[in-house]
Amino acid sequence: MDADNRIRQEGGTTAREATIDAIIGRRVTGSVLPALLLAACNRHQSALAPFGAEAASTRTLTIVLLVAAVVIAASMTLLMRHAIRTPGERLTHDQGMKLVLWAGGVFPTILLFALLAASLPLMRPAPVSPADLRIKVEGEQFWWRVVTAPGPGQLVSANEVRLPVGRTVAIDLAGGDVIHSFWIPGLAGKMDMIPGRINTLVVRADKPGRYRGVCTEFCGLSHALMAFDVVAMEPAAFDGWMAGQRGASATASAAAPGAALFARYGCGGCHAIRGTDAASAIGPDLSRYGNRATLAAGILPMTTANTAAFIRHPEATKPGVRMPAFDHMPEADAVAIATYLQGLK
Amino acid sequence: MTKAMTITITWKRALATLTALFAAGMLYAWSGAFNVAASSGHWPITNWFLHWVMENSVRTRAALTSPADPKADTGLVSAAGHFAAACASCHGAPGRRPSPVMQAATPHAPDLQKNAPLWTDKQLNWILQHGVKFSGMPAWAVQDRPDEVARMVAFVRALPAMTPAQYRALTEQAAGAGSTGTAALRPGLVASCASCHGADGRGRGQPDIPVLGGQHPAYLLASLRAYATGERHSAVMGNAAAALTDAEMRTLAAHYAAMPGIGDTPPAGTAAARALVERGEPRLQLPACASCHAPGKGYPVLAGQKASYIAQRLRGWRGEKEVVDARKPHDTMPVIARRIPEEMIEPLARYLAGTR
Repeated sequence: MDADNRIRQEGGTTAREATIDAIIGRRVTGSVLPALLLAACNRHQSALAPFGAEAASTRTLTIVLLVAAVVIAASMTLLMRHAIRTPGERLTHDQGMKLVLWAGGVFPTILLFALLAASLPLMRPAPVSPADLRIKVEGEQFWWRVVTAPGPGQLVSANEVRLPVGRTVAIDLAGGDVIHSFWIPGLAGKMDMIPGRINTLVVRADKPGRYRGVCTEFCGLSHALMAFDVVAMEPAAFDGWMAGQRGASATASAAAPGAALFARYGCGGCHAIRGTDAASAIGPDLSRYGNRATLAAGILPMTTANTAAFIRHPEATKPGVRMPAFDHMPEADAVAIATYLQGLK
Repeated sequence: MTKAMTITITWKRALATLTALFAAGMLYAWSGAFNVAASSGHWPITNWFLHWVMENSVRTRAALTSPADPKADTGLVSAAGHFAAACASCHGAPGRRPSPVMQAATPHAPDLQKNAPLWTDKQLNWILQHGVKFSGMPAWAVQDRPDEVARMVAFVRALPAMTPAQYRALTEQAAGAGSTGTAALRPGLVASCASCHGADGRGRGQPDIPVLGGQHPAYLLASLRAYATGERHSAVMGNAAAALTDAEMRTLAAHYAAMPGIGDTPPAGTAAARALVERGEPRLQLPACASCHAPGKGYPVLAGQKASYIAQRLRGWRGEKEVVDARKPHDTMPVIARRIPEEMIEPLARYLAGTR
């Protein structure tokens, strides 16, 4: 769990850590490069560490294009070097024109068409059948509304996308308020979430684990603080999880003092918890809150102290957040509510 | 015959002269020869110059920055009460001389019964809002209560024609029968609250003064404390609450909360307002009012409160349109009030107020 948290933290501040790593790198080894390269060794939020078919083919294409670009640049350099060193009048006019035609016209055309042919299939969406699992994700300022298997028996959650390994999953993306963009770098390319329409991203995860996704379209003050957890599970484990999650949250915590405070402070005006009176869909659904690994949309580790602090002053963590501050709530009440929420598993 | 003396002005000499003048001025200031005694007054020319500068400043600033509606004739009681508590000692009031102590200041505050007609509403609003430097006239104690300032403009406007009897009627009210707790309070305290809030805690029919009876005592106490510390913004209540001890606040909160008043009035009004109260408007991320303002919850009781007061609070929380989003307050009610459509404020306030 600790290792998980650390990895998650790295993901949250990759750029800053790269800078810090860079400074440490200069001091310790006298070289910035190894540190920067190490910063790229991020297994849970990286297009270079795919856990799905889409991202894997994108990585293959990236490597092919990179190698081709290096080879072409090297050949051109050698050719120019040769041309500069060769004495003049070595080729006749006709020979020169032929060289231009073949090396400057025909060869690049063939090469570019070959690369196009190699990349075009990647743009075709993977086939999806009505029987495949659908997950609806709506971007909100600054969190994610996640509905797994929309329809009767659907599972509403927030800031966490769970999907089964080895099965095709269609993710329907919508913008709840403004334009967002949905990107799980290790799973697939990014896709915009536009209010008023649905873009469908078809994915297939092939390696179980915990990963991370982010918003990649500027959406407001806390755009950079809008991430989510991605959990790829073995199919059997996923089915078990779905069945277990649909019902009411564990009843043990219903008697917690925090449950009464949650109702008394009117939290149900915006939030829903399955099995209680709280049923509003304005803010994130908090059912099974305790199962999530992070809070505030992938920003803070899930601890009671973090939850309590967020309840009283969400704007301190996320500037421009839509949830108002509850400054009038005594700290002890906030801790009791946080304890109750964390008990919802 | 002596030759006429000529002095050539050079840059060096000009600079030396300015330096010498500055040094002489500083020496004079340092020596203490200048008399700052208020007892000595100003020379007439100084007096004229200072007034001239002040009048010019007020005229220009008021024209540029005063609100379009500088005066609110919605009720004079709260402004009169504040005037009696905070202004009359310097300015005097109908039938009351100003304090001789304050009249010994330089300059001393003008008699507004004679002086108020010299200013326009906008100029009065500017002076009340911002005060006047070097004159002893303070700014309004909080800068974001234009409604309080506008009511005071109306009161000052009414002063010249006001008789002592009318002034007494505005600022005094019998305290009524005190509950057992209030008997221990210092004499006149409950009467001073009652001068605006009324002996029955219903606010003397004033649209801007809320009904206190029936409210949660904890909420009344928290409000008094927040007014006293300045956390809740009001010059009127801030001045009143600052003089109270915590024990007095607790007694007063319990005293008013125990009176009959709000809480027993069924809401009534338009279907749209009812929908907002009971279900909110998820499309605007607006939670239902009733998710917090309901029996059994700790939040203030709204049923039966004055519609004018509810609307005034909602408008106050929304704040100025010109403030950029990132600087708007993030407290619970300001965030929620900003999401209520403007055209729904009045119907909503009337619905919550109910049939009263």
